[in-house]
Amino acid sequence: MINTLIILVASSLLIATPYLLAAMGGLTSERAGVMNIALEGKMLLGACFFSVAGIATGNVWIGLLSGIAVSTLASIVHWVLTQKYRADHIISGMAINVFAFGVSSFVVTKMGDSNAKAPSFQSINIELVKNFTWSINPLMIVALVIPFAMAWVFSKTRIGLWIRAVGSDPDKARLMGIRPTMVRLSGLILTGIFTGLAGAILVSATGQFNEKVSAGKGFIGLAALILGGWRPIPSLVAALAFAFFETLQQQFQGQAVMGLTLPPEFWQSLPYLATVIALGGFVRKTRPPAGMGKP
Amino acid sequence: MNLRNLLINLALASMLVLFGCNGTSGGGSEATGGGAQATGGAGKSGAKSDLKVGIVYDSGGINDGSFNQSANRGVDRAANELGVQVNKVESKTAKDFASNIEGMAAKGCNLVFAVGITMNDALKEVAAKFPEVKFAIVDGDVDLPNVRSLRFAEHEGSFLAGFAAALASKSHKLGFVGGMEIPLIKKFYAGYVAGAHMADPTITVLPPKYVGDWVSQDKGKAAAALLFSEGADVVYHAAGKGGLGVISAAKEQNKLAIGVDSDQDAVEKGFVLTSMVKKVDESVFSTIQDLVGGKFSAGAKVYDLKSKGVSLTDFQYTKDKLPADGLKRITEIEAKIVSGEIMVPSDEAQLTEFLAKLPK
Repeated sequence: MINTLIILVASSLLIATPYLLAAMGGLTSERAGVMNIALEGKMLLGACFFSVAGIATGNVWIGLLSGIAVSTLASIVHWVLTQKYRADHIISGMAINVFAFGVSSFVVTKMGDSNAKAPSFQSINIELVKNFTWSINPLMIVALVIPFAMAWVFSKTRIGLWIRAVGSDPDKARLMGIRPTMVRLSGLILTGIFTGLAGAILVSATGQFNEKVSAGKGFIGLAALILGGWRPIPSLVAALAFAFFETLQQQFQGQAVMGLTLPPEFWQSLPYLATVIALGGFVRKTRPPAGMGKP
Repeated sequence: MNLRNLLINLALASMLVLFGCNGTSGGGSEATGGGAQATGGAGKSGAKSDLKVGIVYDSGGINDGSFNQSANRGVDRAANELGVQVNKVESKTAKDFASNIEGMAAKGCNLVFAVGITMNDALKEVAAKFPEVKFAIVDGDVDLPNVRSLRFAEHEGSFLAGFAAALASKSHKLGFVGGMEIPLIKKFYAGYVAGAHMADPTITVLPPKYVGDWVSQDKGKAAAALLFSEGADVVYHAAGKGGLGVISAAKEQNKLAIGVDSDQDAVEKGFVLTSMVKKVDESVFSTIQDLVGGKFSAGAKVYDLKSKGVSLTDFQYTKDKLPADGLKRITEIEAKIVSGEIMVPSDEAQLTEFLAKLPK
């Protein structure tokens, strides 16, 4: 029983990190007032160029930097569209997602050897319990530190306060002498870095990239952000909980739970069911940043 | 909102619409590109044929690393060796199946392939409208005088996979990870369980785990890790790209995985016991060959162990994982299936019957 629990928690971390990083990416842009449904696309671009550059050079650092650079570039384009040209936040976000999918489908058709593996960081292997080796990608540790770092940034640093000010009332922030567009640029650059990292972790799970590797994880990250009330630590908890339910449902599949053997489809809906219950019942009020979507 | 901003938003919105239409219009242009490429290939070889072959891939896309890709190898080979002209189109969603197939038939293709069971209904509808055009469907079952249904005996290949898994297992526990719980995947599971019990009547096959889709590598990995932690030491997957996670988990836990559809032995050398290969490329190529030779026939054509339409790979990296007489025993059991001495179950009911008859 305890062993199973340890295995469930440990293996859910692998599933949790992309959700978590997407949520953090959403946090830095939405708290600055940019509605961000493009997390999925930015993550996919990060994953795509992490593997392309990694395979081409055989160097994991070059892969990581390329992935982060490209997703940051997409984030800057997002900034130009929404801040310089006042494009609708939802439409520009959708456009980035569609563009990312197009680019990565194209890259996949050009990649040739489908068995080529992107290099990844040396993982740390710990035999936690019998028959279960916990393989930790160093990037996962980085990912777990980020929410705490963001909590500190938001409460203690000047840039954190600026982001919050711009996100809750851009007009007042302007009166205080802050330039909202520049603050949003820094928020979106952070989004690019976090989603690029998420892309690298997605690919590192097996070393293989395909155009469907993001599989809606950016949107689940966004849900975790909303569930966490646009705050870093609660969003971390939401991402971890969602991933835990993902592995828990796999554990329940084919097993008699309280005397009942239910079809796998029932268990597969468990994480979503839990989210709906959490949103409807336990989380009283989650308020989006007041200035979201405002110029 | 001033005029400039309005224009930007309009441009972005129209970009969405354009990409949205990609299923038909974009796909169409790709078809021409593919056709041109294939024609180039024909020019190189000596063989000449003015037959035109169309192929419609399902939403997995040409590079799915699975049956679409395998079908693509088949038509490419036909373009090179037989000199036929090939037109290709990918389908973005299920909505495009019928229009893509119809487009190929209307374009003057002599033979049109629909790849994947999901296109069954669309093909049935279109094939009736074009009685003079020949059609073939991979994995499907369409009973029309101008359609050949290419079917595979996945349960027979899976039986051998289960047999090999049981021989390699030291813990006497096996696992299975599927993509979704659909009849096709249950067919894999039924054959696998039967084969495992054939080799070792006392073996335990843990209840199957399903990823829930065909793409989530991380979930496939977590599912396999759970099975390994419950004591399984060989896990067979039929989970599409999610199965790459299963193979990666086998490496991390120092256990074994079994690949599917195409040869996955080299994905993690030494950790993939074998792969159950479905030779979709062979079936596509030989159908075109029949057409060129004037021997095209309608009806179901089953690719099984006997016709080598399904088979195991040759244990190139994993011979040491099997007992000394392992390969010999696998060949023997294969011969028994081919001769019809062993009837491999293909669903749950037949599996129960099969297990009841086995000597304990």
